[in-house]
Amino acid sequence: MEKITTRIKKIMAVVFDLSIENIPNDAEPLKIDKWDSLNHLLLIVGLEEEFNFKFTDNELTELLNLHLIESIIINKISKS
Amino acid sequence: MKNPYAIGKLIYLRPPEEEDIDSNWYTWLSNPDTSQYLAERFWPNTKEKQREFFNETKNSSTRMVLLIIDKDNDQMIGVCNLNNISFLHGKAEIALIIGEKEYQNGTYAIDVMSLLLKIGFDRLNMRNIITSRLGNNSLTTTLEKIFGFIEIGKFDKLIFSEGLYQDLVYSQLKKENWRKRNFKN
Repeated sequence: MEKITTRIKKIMAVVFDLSIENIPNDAEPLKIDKWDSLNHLLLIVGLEEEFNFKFTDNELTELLNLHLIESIIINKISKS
Repeated sequence: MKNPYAIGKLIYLRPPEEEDIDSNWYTWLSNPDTSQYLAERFWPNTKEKQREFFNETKNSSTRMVLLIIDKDNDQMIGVCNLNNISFLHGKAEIALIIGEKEYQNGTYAIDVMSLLLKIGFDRLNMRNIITSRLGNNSLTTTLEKIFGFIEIGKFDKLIFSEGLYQDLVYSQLKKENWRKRNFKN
């Protein structure tokens, strides 16, 4: 099964118009030029579609970088 | 934090005070970048108009205006409100502006939206929260989608904006749907 980090990076690559190799492991808005407000929201929409769940309001406020996104998704999948 | 009314992850919300009239607040509504998607923004805003707005709204029971403050440095970065509050019908409309450019990366708007919904549903006991936006505002469209708003209708080509007539789109979030998404029980 594909690693969760890779799946997240694939979505990021599409949203930020980058190749997956150019998504760093410590990706965050300050490190990716195209991580602006609209793309941040589109990233969330893409993640919800990829993993087939909805984030809670509380989770939405914590999706601040790749590391946090990954840990929230892992936590969400483990509870489902 | 100074007089916080609601506290989020990155920001907190507080009521405006008279001294805030002298801040950047009034400039956000004139600046074409920050006001481009507002349906009512066609006349320049001034400090005097901001003072009138402050005096009109400070004791209002139908409009709650809150300033958005960065928790890290107490900088005012935007403004939001619940307006047309009806305790009879249990409904309110919400709106927000992130005025300072360096905070327009989406994460702050999400924090504000989350707090506004919590205030509306859990503190003011609203049953419905309503939004209106211009049809070409893809940022707000996506923000509303993430928070579970459902589009309920639109006025076709109602608002003249940037040389074109735009739809005015209304969306609704019901309390039960908000609770279902956020709480297991």
